[in-house]
Amino acid sequence: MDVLWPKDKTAPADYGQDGRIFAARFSPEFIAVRHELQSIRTWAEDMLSKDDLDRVSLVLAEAMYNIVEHAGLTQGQFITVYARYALGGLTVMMRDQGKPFPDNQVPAGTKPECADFPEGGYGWLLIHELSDRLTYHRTEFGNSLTLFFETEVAGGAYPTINKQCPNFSLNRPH
Amino acid sequence: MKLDARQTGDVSVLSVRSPRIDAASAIRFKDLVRENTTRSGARVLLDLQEVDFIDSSGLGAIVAVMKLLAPSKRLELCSLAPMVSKVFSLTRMDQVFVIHESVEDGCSVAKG
Repeated sequence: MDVLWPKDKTAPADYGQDGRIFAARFSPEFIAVRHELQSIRTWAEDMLSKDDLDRVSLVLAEAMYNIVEHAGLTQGQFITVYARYALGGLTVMMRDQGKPFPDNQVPAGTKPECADFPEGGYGWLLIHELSDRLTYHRTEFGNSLTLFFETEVAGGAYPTINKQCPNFSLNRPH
Repeated sequence: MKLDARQTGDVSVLSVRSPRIDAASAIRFKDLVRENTTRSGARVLLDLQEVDFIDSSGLGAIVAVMKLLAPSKRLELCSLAPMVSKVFSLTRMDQVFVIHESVEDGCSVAKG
């Protein structure tokens, strides 16, 4: 495993100190994204509520399809996704070696005006509305987008204490 | 991506036979709607009963189809799953489209 996950005291015992982890690397193609979306959903299915699964699936679809359409990745380059579930939240980090966002900033996502009915531009609006926290870093290796979701806990038995978007550190870039 | 078209009274009903309208299928969806509405009447009802996932590209495709059909034909929607409905409300597209509970509701409005 390439990822050194932050040690904290919030991971439930069932998932070990590091929580439960998902990692995948795939080609920047629609069909590959669709496949990984299903894999992540299957991985998260018994941990998240239906509502959380739905919004996580949509946000990840928007973010991954955005990479496919706009990062300008070429053959032989990949999208890498790491997800970590621990008590109170799901963190998903996506990395790619493509182009940076304009001005090195995540697009804000603006509410479309009803008058002109744009056919696009809804993706970032949905990402911002449906995720709980988002950070973007441009490094020498490319783009790194981290999304955090505060998730419902079955029966409300546990307090939501993992409020911070964990810092990720990698000992190897890809 | 599949689409079934039928005429119910003066309403052309298009039923999407696919669980997803997303970036991977948006172009095919647009083409299918275009092919199936060349001879339709003034009202086109898009039945989304079998769709449980739509992303921004799918939403954009539906908006594109609405613009394509206007002004002679009006696109209305029905049978939105909760997550599909949420995408429409977050983007305020629920204010733009006429949305019916079911195919029956959509067709009965025409008769009334």
